[in-house]
Amino acid sequence: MLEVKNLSVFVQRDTEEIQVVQDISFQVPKGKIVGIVGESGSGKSMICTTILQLFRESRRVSGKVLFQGESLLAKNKEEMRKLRGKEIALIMQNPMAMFNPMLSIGDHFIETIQAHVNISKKEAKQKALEQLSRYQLPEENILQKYPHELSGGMLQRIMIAMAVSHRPSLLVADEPTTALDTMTQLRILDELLEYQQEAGTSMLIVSHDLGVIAKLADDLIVMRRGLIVEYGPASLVLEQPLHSYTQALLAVKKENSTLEQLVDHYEEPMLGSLVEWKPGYWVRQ
Amino acid sequence: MIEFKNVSKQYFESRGWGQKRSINAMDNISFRIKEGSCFAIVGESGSGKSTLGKLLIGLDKPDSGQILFRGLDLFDINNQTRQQLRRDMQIVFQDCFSAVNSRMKIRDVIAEPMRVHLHYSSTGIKEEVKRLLETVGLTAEDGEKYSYQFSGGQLQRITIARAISIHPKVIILDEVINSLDVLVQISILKLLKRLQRELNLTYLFISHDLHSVKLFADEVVVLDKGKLVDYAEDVKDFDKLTHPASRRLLEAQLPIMPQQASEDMSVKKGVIVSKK
Repeated sequence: MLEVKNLSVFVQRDTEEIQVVQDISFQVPKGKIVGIVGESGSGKSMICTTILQLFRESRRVSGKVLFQGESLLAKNKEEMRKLRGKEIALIMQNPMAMFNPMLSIGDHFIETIQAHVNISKKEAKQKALEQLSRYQLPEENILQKYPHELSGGMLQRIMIAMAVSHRPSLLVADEPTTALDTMTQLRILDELLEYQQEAGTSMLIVSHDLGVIAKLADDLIVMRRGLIVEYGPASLVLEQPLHSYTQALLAVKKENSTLEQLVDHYEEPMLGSLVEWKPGYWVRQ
Repeated sequence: MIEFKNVSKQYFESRGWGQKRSINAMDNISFRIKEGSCFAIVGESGSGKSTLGKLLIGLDKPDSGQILFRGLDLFDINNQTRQQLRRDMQIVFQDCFSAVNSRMKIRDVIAEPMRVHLHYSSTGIKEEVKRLLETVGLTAEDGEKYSYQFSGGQLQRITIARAISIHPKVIILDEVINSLDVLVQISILKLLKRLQRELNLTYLFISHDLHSVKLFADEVVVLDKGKLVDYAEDVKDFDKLTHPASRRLLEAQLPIMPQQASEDMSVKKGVIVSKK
C-alpha cells in the first residue's frame, strides 16, 4: 500500500541544511495500522507531511515514497491535489487550528466533498449529514454551527468524519488525540479503530503516547532524532523492547512504578546501525 | 491548610435572544487539603477541575460557600491581607507558551512577580533570577533569551521558576505536564517533587491523566459534572473506587502491556543488550 524507502528529509535553517529524517524505510501494508512514537523533534510529523507532499518548496527530500506502487515524489501539484483528501487523508493534532473560524461546519464539509466529487451543494449537504450521523454527532443543526461553539473533542470527531468522507485508502493521523482529555481520547480511538476495521483502510498513526499506539498499531516504529530506533510487530516491541530508549519510554507507562525509579532523560547518542534481529523486527545496535 | 466549605459556582451560557442556560461548574463542594501534601483533583473535561483552581487564586468568586486558607476566608478579607494571600498561592498552567509574554526576556518574566510583591534591589533581583534558573535546571544565560527559543519542557520549568520566585505556600498545577513528551513529563514531576521537599510546598494537582496522578500525588478526589463524587486518601487505592465517574477514568487509561513477557524472553533480551 504505502512503501517508504530510504527517506531523508532536509530543511534549510539559516545558513545550514539540517537532516531531520535520516534514511528511513518502512511500509504500511493494506488494511494494517502502523504507529510511530518518538519525542518532539524526532521527525515523525516530517514523515507525515512528506507523504502528503506538503511544504514541498521548503524542504529537500531524497529516497522513495511509493503509494500503490506509484512514486508520490514524482507527482506534480495537480496530481497530488487529486490524491490528497480522496486517496490519502490527514487527521491533524489541533482541531481548533484546522477549522476556519469564519466558516460553519457545513461550509467545511461541503467544500471537502465538492473538492473531489462533482455534485451540487444540496447533495453534498445530504452526504455530510449521512457522514455525521454515522459518527454519532447528535445535534441536528451541527452543520450551522461554527468551530468556536463546539468542544475540542467534538471538532476532532468532525475532522475524522470529514477525512474519511471519501473513504481514503490511506489515513495519516498525526497526534490525533494529543489535545484531548483521556475520556474523549478513548472514544475517538475506538471510533477510528471501528472505521478502520469496517473499511479496511491502511493507517499511519503518529503519537508521543505509547498507550495510543499500543491500542491501535499492528506494527510499531520508535524514532529518535530522525532515526529509527526499533521497528517491528507492536506486540513484540511492547512486550520486550530491545533498545534502551524504548525500554525507558515503556517504563514510564508501567503500573506500580514510582517516580524515583524512572529515567527522566535519555542522552545517549544514536549509534550503530539498524539490524534485522528477527524477520520483520529491526533494532538499532 | 486549605478548606473548601460547601462551595458552589454557576456559569451562564447564552443561548441567543436573551435566553440563558445555567451550568453548575461546582456544586456544593467540601474538602480539606493538608499542609505539605500533594492533593490531586481528577475528572473529565467540564467536570469543574479548572474552576476550582481559578476560585482558589481569586480569579473568580464562588456563588456560595467559603474557601478558607489557614482559617482565613479568601473572599472576606481586606485588600492588604488579600495581596499577601495572592503571594502565598501561585498557579502553573498547561499551555506554557501562552502563559509567558513572548515579547519579554525570560529574566523579566521571572522577575515580574518579585517586582510586584517583594522589595528587592535591582541587583538583588538579578541574583535571584540567576539562582531560580539554576534551581529549575537552566542556566543564567537562558535569562537573556525569549520564550520561543525554548522547548515546551524548558518553558514549563521557567513558569515553575516564576511561580516559586515569591516563596508561595501553595502551587496549583493545572494540567502542567499534559502537552509534554513522556520523558520530559517525568523530569518535570521529579523537579516538582524536589521543590516540594526543599521549599515545603503544598500542591493542588489538577489532571485527567490517572497515570501521572498515581506517580505524583498523595490524596485524590474525583469531580463529575461539578460534584465531588469520590475520594481516596491514598492515591494507590484509586483502583478500588466504585463511582461510575472513577471507573470511567480508570477504563480510559490505555495499558501498553497486554500480558507480561515470559521468563525466557527476558533472558534473550539480556543477551541482545549486552552485545552492544
